[in-house]
Amino acid sequence: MNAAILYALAGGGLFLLGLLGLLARSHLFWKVFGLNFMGSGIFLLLVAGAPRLPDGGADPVPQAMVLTGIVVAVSATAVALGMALRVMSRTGAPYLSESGGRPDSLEISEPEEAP
Amino acid sequence: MTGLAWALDGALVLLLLGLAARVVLTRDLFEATVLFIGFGLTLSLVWVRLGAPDLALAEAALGTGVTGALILYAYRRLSEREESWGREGRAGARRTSRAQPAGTRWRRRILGVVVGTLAAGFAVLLLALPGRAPLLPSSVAERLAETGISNPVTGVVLNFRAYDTLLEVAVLVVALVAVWSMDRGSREFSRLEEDVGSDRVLGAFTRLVVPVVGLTAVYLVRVGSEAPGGAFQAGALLAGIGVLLAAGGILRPVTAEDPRVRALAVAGLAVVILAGLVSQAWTGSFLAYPDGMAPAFVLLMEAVLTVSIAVILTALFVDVTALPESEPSPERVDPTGDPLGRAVGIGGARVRAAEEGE
Amino acid sequence: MQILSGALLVAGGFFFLAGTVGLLRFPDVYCRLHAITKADNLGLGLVVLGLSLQPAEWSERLQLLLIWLLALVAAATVCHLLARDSLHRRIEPRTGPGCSAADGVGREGA
Repeated sequence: MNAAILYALAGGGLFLLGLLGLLARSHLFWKVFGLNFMGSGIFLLLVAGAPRLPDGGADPVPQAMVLTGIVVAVSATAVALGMALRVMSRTGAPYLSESGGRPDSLEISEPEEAP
Repeated sequence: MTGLAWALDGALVLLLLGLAARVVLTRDLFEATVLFIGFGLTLSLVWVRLGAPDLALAEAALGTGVTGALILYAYRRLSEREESWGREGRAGARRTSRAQPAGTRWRRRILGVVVGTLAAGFAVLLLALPGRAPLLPSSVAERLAETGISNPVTGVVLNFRAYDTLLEVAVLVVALVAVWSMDRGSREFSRLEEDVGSDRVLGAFTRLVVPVVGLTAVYLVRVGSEAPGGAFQAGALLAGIGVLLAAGGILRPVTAEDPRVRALAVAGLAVVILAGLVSQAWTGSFLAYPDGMAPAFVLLMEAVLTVSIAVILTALFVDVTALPESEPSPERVDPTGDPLGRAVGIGGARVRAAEEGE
Repeated sequence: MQILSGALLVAGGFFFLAGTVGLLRFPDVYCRLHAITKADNLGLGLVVLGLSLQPAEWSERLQLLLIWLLALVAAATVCHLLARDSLHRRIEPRTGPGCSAADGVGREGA
């Protein structure tokens, strides 16, 4: 329970970074990034937070769950990106209409003008 | 633990968090995408350190390879569209967002405080966890030998917790259906300009890579019962070839209307359900494989799943970015009356010129 | 021997880092291709070399070498295709006084 604790804490930190990205960036792509980080953080927490077996092996149950999780995260990212592109295609900008189609007031960084 | 191991783990953690922070905070979408891919690879290394080679394979292939490619492709579509909408659209957005409503600073500070408190509280809770020995893994270890599968992760994924895998494959199919139900253009998957037959570099490369990667995928499926590997990682590899072939023009871009694509996409789900029903008939429980038959069941399921996953991922990749052609029309205007909406209407005419130029 | 192996691994990592920095900082697609292809290939070669100095079977070392060769071929092919595709789309290489990343110029053809 040494490096594992470090990684588990890192997982928590990653989750919070992702949450920050999800909330504080109104560009839809950055929300996708945020969600991915949140997912990765949880995965890290699951695997690193699991105690090792008495014989030193790793616990396979959370690994199996995380494997499932990675696949689901890829699917969700694909759908989310598809929707973000369609929003862009309909309204001309990759921001939700709640924020008026442009970066909202909470936005901590605006994307550069020339992508 | 040795100092070197601590240094390595510490460096990995710093890299992981640093990359994530940079992605979240940067203003440049290209940089965010590139660093996100770097993040994924770093996470693969972390999985290795944590004794999870199956996860390392999956993270590298799916989490980084497929997701990274998706984001890059979407980024390209985004910048194409933003260019054609015209600079004034973006400039308009910048102008309006400069005038931030009062209290923005405070809202950001509150958000920062909330997140920081969550972080601190979480760290405290985590460190206070009781260090009990888990019950599940010892049960898994005891019963694993009965299944005839020696890779414990595969044993859990495809045997002990096959229900989860059934639902996981269902999620993949649902995602494909969702993407197919979005409006799509008929524009061909953005292929390289020249026909691959006359393109010797791409042709030679394809001839080299497709067999090698195909063989590796078959190996991963076969060996997944005894060593790190499995259907999902192999499927992601094959999807990589699929994308290569589609980009090179060898494979016609997959469309929802092609019945073979549909059949292959659901084949994985179908085979898992079928295995469950057969087990039900044989042993009385859904997905409880008959004694001694588990390796056979698992291998068959993994083989079909691999093909299915490859088809689904390739189709996802091709169709996520297949945007409908943009046309100047009244409904283009943003209903909130934003200046960006007006610029879009103006940009419409330029879009047509841009499309012709492409 | 361990020290040499470790040093090679670190050097390989450094080249990867340098390549990525180039990818992010260079102003146009051709410079970027140049940076990542050369640096990443060299970096991977050093990593493979460093790893083969670790105690291992010869078959494993051969595997590592084959992986490196495959990655080399892939990188070279992709680099060629990207460069040719960019040329085809008439993306001009940036030259002249505006060609510095410090001027904040662009991401065209990214």
